[in-house]
Amino acid sequence: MFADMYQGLLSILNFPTLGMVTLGLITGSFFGALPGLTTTMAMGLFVPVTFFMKPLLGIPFLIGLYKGGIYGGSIPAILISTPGTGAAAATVIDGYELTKQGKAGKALKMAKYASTIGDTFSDLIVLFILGFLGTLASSIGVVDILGILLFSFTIVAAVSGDSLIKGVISACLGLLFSLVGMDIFTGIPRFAFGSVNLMGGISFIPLLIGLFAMSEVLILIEEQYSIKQKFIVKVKDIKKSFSKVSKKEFLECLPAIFKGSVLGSFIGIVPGIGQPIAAFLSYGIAKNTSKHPEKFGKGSLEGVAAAESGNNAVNGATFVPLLTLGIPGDVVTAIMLGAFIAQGLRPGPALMQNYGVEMYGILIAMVLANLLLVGVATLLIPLYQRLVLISKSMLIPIILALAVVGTFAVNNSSFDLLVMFVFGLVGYTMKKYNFPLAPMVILFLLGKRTERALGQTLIKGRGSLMILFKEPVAAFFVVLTIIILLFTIIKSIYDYRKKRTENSNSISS
Amino acid sequence: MRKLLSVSLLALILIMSTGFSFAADDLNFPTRPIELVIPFGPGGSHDMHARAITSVASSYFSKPIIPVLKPGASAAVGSMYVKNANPDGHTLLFGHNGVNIIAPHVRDVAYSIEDFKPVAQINYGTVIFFARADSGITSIEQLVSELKEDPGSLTFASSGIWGALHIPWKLFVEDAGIEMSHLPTAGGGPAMQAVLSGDAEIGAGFPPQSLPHIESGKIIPLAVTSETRIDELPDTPTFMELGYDFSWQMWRGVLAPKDTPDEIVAYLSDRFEELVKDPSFVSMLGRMGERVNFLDHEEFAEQIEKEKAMYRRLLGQYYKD
Repeated sequence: MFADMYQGLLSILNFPTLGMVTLGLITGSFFGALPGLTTTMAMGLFVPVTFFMKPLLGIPFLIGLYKGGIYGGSIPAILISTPGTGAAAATVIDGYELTKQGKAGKALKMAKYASTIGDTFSDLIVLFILGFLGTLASSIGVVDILGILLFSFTIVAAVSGDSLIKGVISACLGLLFSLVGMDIFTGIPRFAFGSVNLMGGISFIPLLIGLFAMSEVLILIEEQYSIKQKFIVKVKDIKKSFSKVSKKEFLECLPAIFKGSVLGSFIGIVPGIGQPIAAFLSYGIAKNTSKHPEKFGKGSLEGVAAAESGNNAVNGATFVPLLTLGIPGDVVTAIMLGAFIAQGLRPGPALMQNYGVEMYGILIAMVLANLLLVGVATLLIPLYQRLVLISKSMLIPIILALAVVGTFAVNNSSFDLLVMFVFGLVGYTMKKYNFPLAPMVILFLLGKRTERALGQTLIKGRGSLMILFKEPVAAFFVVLTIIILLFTIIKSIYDYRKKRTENSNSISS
Repeated sequence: MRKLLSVSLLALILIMSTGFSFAADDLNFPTRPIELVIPFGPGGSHDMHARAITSVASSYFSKPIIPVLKPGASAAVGSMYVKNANPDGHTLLFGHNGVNIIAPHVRDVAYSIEDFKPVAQINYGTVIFFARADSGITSIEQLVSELKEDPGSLTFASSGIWGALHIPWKLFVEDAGIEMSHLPTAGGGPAMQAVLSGDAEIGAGFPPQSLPHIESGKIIPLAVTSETRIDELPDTPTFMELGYDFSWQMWRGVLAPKDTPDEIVAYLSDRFEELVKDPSFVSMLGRMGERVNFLDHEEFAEQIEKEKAMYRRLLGQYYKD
């Protein structure tokens, strides 16, 4: 293994390979940073080009695209409340708040550090214990996936802000939207109202851009006419927007980054869950274990660090089922699978034995890609950061144009534009009445997946859910879910009582 | 972005092609680049097949073939686009039987196979049925007898309702008269995962995904759905050899709008027949683990008729005309 690793290292330490990685990173972060131009699209477009390249040029280029894309999504999420990719949805919550407070620089740099650390952690464990992780991946079944998904529901409480009731309402709406489309078990359309466009369900990116970006455009337009604030940031705070992350702030965020890295790596191994849910989970866990949970949602660097380490740590780990089982966890890895096969590197149990040198070369290139990403990000951040210097009257049309072009680019579908505008209005209304948006996004992501896993678990359990307690991974997450649920209920009763006694005290006195 | 890219590509190719375009025969076809519509997103296996075709097409057609991605609504968007296109042979659909024959019979979509004229089948994929190694099942006979004794005791994982793995499974259980529980998953990968992790004892898949696990000994092949055995598994019988009355393959092929003139369809069919012999096309398909299985426009039409009759029988109450 170590001989192969050494040979692999030598085979990629050359200018063309590292150059291709860098090219991939730059292209990828460009795609990620433009809303609608997703990582999937970048990889899909460029994968045929790699068919005609050598494996150690083509694959590293795609790895660069992948990592750059997932990282790049955080930039517009932080600066203009527009997640460039689905993975950056959780980054918006605190990232955009920080920008409005004049801390865009800190948020962007924290995203850079957290992304790279999370990704490096994930890549390193894949590099050293791929075989073991492969065995773990092949043992994860539908029941375990249901356990993990059920656990993910608990994040709703963490991202609900001040009112749990409003969070739950938002979550229920998200669940409802996720059920639009064809039923997975019978093939019968639901809530499609006879529309061919709705048959395949509501597309995620248009929904996301509508909820976050379009709604923000409406709010900015409204503010433009009420308060005379020329920039998103108060004028006196603009200079502050370019400041760095201090050592103290970084150390404070380190536990969140570490937890996000471990969690993201685990989620990456489980097929079919993906970056967006990992980011929200990491965010929820960081909030529940933070010393300053009250800051989350109001501009917390820890929130950005948790979301970004969580989603980027998925990247490396998704290669585990891909390489050892030939099973892609999502569309991006499915494209990657195609690229490996086209190079004659057929993923499966025998891959590492048959192509040890090439594969270790690729895995080491993944680790090095993270270091290069720091460089690329350091060059890109100052460019994008200038967005805060653009006055609102210019910024509003820019975001609007990006939102429309980006939405259309996803599927070349004008129906998606309608979806985006409708969710723009939904998002605007929700923001106006202080309903949190994140629970809706989370449940939209979890809804169909959970329905499928539930149906599958019931088929496996012959109609009984007790099977959830018989599988160790599933049982662990279900018990954890129940504990958190009980804790949340007890805490809200306690808070309610406290509030009531305070109120009655103030009335009586 | 994609549109911009294809438009600029088109412009580039147009300029290039003026240099060496030569007069075709009396047909006067093609007069401009041919669009090959892929009803899926970029990077999937279907897209990779289509791009393998378009990348070698310039040697066989006097005008280039341009891949046009029209994903959405489970391939309905792309199919509708070709259905409504000008039937002059310049707009073609790269379809497969999943979306173009099965889907219209089980879902409400505004197109059917009758809206298209078959041009050429490019290749097909055989489905391998397999059992998890520690399930104790080693043959179809044994599987059937166990299920006859204890109906519903074994589970089959598919890639989803009416998908490429569900259809041949359905043909098998109906023919064998057995009861088996069905676990639909989100695709071929998750279906394989379900078998490996023990959620299901029986699974199925195409050779590129299944063979590595067969070689590693995790799964045991039981039967293949093609009419003849496949080279990689010479000892695995076909369902027909085992006495079942069905064969099934997932084909990928080129379809034209139904009013396309027959001469143009025949011309296209001849050109594709030459194209599929192109060495670099064959090697590209080979690396994907696929093989060319060409049928010209007449054979392809017969194949489609045969399939339609089969689905009418299989789908029964679900069948929509």
